[in-house]
Amino acid sequence: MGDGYPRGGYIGKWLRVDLSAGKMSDETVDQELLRQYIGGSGLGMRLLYRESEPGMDPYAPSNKIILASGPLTGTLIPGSGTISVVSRNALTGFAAASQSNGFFGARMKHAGYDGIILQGRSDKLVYLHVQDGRATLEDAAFLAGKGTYATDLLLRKKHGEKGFDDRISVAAIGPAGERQVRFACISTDRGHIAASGGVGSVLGSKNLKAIVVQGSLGIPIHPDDRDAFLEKAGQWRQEAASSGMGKTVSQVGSLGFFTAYHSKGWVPVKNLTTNIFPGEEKFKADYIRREVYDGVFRSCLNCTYHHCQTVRIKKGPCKGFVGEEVEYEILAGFGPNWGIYDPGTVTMLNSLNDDLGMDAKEATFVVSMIMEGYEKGMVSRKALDGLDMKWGNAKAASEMLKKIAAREGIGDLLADGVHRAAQKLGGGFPEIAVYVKRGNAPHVHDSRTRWGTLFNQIVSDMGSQEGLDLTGRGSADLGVDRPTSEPDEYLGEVNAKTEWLRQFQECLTYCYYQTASLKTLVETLNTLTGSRYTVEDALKVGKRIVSLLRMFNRREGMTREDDSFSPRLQMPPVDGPGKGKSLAPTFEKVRSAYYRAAGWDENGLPTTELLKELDLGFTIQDKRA
Amino acid sequence: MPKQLKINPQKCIGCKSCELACSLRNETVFNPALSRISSITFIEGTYPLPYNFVATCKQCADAPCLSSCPTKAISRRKDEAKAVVIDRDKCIGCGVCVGTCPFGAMRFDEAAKKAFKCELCGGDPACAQMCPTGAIQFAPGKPFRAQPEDCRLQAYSILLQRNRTSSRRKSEKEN
Repeated sequence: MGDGYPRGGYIGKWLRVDLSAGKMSDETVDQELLRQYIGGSGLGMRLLYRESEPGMDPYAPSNKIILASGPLTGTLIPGSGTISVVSRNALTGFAAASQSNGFFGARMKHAGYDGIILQGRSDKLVYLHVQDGRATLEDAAFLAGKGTYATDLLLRKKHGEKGFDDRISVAAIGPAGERQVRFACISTDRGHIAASGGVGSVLGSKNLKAIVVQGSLGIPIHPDDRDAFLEKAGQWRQEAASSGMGKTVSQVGSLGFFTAYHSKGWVPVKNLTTNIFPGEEKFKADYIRREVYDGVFRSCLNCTYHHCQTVRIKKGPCKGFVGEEVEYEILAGFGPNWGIYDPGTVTMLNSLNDDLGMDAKEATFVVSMIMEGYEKGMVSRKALDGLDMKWGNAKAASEMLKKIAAREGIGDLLADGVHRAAQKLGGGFPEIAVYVKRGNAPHVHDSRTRWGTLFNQIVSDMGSQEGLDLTGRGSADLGVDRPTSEPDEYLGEVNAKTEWLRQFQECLTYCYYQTASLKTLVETLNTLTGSRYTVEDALKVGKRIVSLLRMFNRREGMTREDDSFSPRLQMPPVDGPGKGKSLAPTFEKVRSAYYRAAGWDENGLPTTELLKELDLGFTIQDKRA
Repeated sequence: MPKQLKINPQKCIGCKSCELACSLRNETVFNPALSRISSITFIEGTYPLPYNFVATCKQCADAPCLSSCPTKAISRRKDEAKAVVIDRDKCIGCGVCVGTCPFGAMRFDEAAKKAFKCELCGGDPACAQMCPTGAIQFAPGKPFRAQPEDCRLQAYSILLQRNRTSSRRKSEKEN
């Protein structure tokens, strides 16, 4: 990479907004940092590390929240409207990196910026408007308490849209974010969610209701690279569409995973108290799409699949309801995990939760914990403000979601997430709570025998999945030829490698459903930016970010003991295909194997040599934290 | 029969790839605002929504833009596709053609002060290549002759309005 790097892809400008002072400024990011971190959550994390003080409260005005795009954002790469959101995790105080699809990332670039750094706290509720390189803070009193859907539509209208999408994107928080529910999310383009780590509550703590981006600035490409890039983009699209994932999702959405996951025992049922789900037939994707609703397609930028739909329920208690078709995890989380057997009701609950602005992972496991506790007599109906929280009571569940978002009554306690709520409720609750680390609800699976998913999140430093799950498949990109089908040392070794791959992908900022081979990823990136990464270089970028995340959390006092999972996740399933199996007995061994493969010491910390090799010398002082 | 861009909005999912492919091929930049093809997604109203709509120049057999141009900058190419094309050197940026196209397909470049439109990428349109659903296809078809009812779609008036506004802004600046 010589002079003139990067050749294309980047706008070359970042926006910093100080909400306390009401001040905006433009900045550039150092070329060397772009080379080392590329963009997206990797670059965002590097900036956060630089600008973060150890022990800082996630809700302190001085905490930063960073919205980052990548060089491929807004180009012809499938799913490249994605945005990465990086901040401090409101649930754990560690790092948080979260992604949302839609169009926002692309439109932020058309508005003139590769990324936005938000700091300070406004004394009244405001929103940020960015258009063609100009940014202003506007009064948001008229949006107070509004859901994410209404906020989106009101702001579109205010900035000139007339009933159709006119290249405006809105990132908004709902009432949950305003009330600092610790698992509040940020919603972009209505219903695409940056869910993990409570990033919505961090925006709420800054009194920032929404960010509107619009503009007509172009994303550059060098004229000599035009045709080569078109070819690479075509190749990427073809690989994405013809992958196994592509075929399923394109036909029936991620609902299509339900049947296979159910047969493996990966569907979470009633807070993991059982693995038997009697409603399976009605949760088959074909059945849902044929019998439960009809829909119209509603895609993200450059999606090569036909999956996201707005649907109208044809039958059942929610007949006539119009909302977004759910993704698999939410189908499982608001269905089987709550003992609810009607996919139409799940659709309604999902729309409600999206509108309130909460992460579905934490929401499902906090409510399922209450339902189990209530059914077992661990908590009285009175203590639950009169809500009859038995399995399958969708009405009570939706009331509970509203209470949480408003931090009202029992909802105030549950708004702090599964782990904190379980501690406060005491009694048997810590035993039945589903979480990893110091308190992140995991992705919505019965992951107790989905080894990759479970282990990955136990050791993750970013609040959700940091690598890939290879429980049922290998990875040609990583030279992993057999799946991690047992909870053994091989699982730990492979997990380290999957993190390098995923964290490289996170820098590019696109939808992971639409991924291509690592070789195509790297070649496409090189074509656009003029970089000369090899596949090995790319994995090294990922490895750098994995160790940076670890050092960020180390600085916050994280130790090996924090790479842990809750008693309920350690308990073997009592029935179903995974009956009797658990990661707990071999966990220490798997963890040690993972540390070794990552190049870390027995305490789970990168060695000094590794940090130097990865250009992370600036973190060495934090090893002593 | 000449090849035409055949657009079936019913197959469109609103991914906007066509706009990016167009701006990349024709302007060497990723910028939907400079696209010759427009994807409009209606998001407000009653179900079924969103309603996705895509439109570009239909290369009309009796093209009003061609006959209205005072400097004869617009002509029909004599190749297989018979695309209606603009000679940028002859275009004086008066904006008359923008107002005469009932489909809102004539666009105006405010920076260069020139009209621009779909010219079928010289015979291999990038939008059709990149469309993931087959909503946009480049295939043989009869030359298009507009009927009054073709022009009544709300989406066309939106596109026309959008183009007219930018054209007017240009003349206001000049005055």
